[in-house]
Amino acid sequence: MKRLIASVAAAALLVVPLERGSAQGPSTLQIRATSLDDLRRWDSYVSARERAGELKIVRVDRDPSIAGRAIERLQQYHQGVPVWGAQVVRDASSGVAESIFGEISAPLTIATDPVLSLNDARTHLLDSAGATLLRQPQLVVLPMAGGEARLAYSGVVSSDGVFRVFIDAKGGAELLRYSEIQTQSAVGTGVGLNGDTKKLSMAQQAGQYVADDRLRPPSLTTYDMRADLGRLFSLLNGFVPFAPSDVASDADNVWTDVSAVDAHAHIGWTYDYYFKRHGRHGLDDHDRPIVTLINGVTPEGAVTLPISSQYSINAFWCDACGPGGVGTMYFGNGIPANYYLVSSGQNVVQLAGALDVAAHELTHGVTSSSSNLIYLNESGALNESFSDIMGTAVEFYFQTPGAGRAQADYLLGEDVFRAFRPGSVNGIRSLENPLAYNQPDHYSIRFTGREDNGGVHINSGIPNHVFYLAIEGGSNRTSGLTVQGVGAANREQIEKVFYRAFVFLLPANATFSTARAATIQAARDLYGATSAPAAAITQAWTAVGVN
Amino acid sequence: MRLAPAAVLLILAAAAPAFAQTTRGAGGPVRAQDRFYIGVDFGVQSGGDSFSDSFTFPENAETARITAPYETKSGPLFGMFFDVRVWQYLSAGISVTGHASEGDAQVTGTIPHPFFFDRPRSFSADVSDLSRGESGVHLQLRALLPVSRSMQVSVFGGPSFFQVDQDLVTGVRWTEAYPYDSVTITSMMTETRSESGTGFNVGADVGYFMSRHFGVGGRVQYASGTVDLPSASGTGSIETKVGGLQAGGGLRMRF
Repeated sequence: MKRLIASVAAAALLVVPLERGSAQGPSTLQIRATSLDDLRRWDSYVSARERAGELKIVRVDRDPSIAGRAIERLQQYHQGVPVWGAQVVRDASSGVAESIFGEISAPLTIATDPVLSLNDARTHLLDSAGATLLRQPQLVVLPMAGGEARLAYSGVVSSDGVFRVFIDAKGGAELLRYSEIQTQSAVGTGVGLNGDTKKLSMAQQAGQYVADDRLRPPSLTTYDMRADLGRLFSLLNGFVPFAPSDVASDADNVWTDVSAVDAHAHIGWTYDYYFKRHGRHGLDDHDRPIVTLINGVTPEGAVTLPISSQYSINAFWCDACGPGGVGTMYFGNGIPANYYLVSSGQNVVQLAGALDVAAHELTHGVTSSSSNLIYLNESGALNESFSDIMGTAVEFYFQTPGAGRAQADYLLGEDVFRAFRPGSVNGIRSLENPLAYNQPDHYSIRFTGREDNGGVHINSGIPNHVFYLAIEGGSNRTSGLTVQGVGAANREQIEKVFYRAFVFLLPANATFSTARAATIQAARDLYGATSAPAAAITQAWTAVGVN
Repeated sequence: MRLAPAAVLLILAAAAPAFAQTTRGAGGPVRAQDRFYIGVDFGVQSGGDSFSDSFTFPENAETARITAPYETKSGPLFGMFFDVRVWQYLSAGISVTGHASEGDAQVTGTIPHPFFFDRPRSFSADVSDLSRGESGVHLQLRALLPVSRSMQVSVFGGPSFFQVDQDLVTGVRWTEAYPYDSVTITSMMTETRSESGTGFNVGADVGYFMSRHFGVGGRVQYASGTVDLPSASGTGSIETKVGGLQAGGGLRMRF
């Protein structure tokens, strides 16, 4: 009915059609003194408005840079009501303006008698915006985007965030709201190693963007060592705490540092995989902080600095590293483009660029917080294998199957360990064919020496192959035994079986035989004793000679 | 809407025989004596037009897309007119109408995912109590058909000028929680957009006078036009039809 009356009133007043009347609001005065004449003119104008009571000094600070100067902040008022955000800043020396800047409204005509009382405003703010009023309503003149000015109440409310809300002082309608959280999530973008543009969950802080994920449940931060090996060692050893300047940062949230882009994105994706596939909340299932370090050394530094390849052609998880033993991951940057590893004939690029490598390292953290498989001999190989398995699972979860870059396959690290010398191959391990990467695919040919902690990176090929066979099926090249896999469409079943067994059922000193029993039990628990997953798991362990 | 011209013709057809009978019974034509004819009516206006608005905004490094369909509803109508006889049975006048209605809309859209490209979260949400007000100014040339001294029938037509005040959805608020695969719309932001346009009107009026100057009457009018409302997108416009079949009754005065 209110609208009807308004319409009738409008109609009754019309005798000829009027163009839509856009209420011409106050124009904004941009006070910019770029010359001495400008400065005098604007200072004179501001002083006049000051004398008229339209501008009032609300704060005076000592100029921190130039002695003897005072920085005055003047607030615009209209009939005693502050005009929201309308201020002039005057830097003055002994009362004489040296610079002056401001954005204020030209003289206003809006009435300043609110229809709503302060109590009404409180009620409206709570009704429209949230449950808690953090800051009491204040009557203000609100310059609107369209140029008009509105008499409004402004308050700060808490509801799914903290917001400053403006409501019309006449009718209570909400006019404007914005978040009062100064540091907030900001979705950025960046191009990764494989040329793919990724979204990045960053934080906006102090005028820049930092690699601090505010959208996922845990603290998930990527620290940029900026090729400062000393800083890297100090942080890894926990000698010094992280400084805000250690966090990877970018000015415009369009990130160009490949390591920062891929490390931050891939670790976030891996967290997502664990949550969506297995309902797990991060490393310890209680959202333990996830700390990632990058850029310890440049590719060029890898061949010129007397350092271990640990920090250039490697990625690792260290459960006790970092300030306070927070646990950290580190991703090396590889070697220059015209270099290759003598041992494999491969060039190595930023390791964080491989999703399976990132997931592999984070999974070490999961293992550390769960079964804590001892990193030696068979339990160590199981530890490594579980990281390979989950690395592969994460690839298949986010990437399309294929043999190209950024595609899902059963190779480990194929995106960053790249064939360079003729005859060399991509990647460092294969779950489909361990023999091709000098790993055993059968228990009878397992490594029994003491190197590599008893072959943790070697014998992992055996359980790795079990995972592959249980999904894809096929024959073991050594035994010739055939496995009926569950099929790629059902890979989720085998992933869940391995997750259940390796996270919950295995003891820290598990052997391959224990792993066989635990995964079969997990398959039975999840899908039944006569289920296809249980049969596939059983057949696969038998095929690799583990009974 | 298409019934409107037919309705007008029906009224004219009904009025014509009555005029003939009255003329015969009185033994001579009824003369137009009054200079002014004024009326105030309450009634209803039909609805039924539909239009749609879309807008986008940047979100999570992609573009969120919102579409809001609207349908005009029938609602109460208020009208008044003022005529001045200019010659014989012809008069010129002006009438104003005001109409208000409230409608609903099922707003649909997509909000980009914060973590992944090309995985928009779709939503559909209802918004209600969207107000629409139409004001019309109708210039009219009227032909009076005097049936008797106590009853007069007139037909009229002319150009119309409209103003529409329409609530449009201009934004959505939502909640989301990790892993952000869906959004829950919590409220819609609406703004009233106003614009004017032109059209035409035709109709008929019947007045029955209990005294020399005062009576009651009814009128059926079909007024139609189009108005280009500013889109919520901030650029472009959306066309909406205004007016419709308007019927009402009320007081009449002549002098």
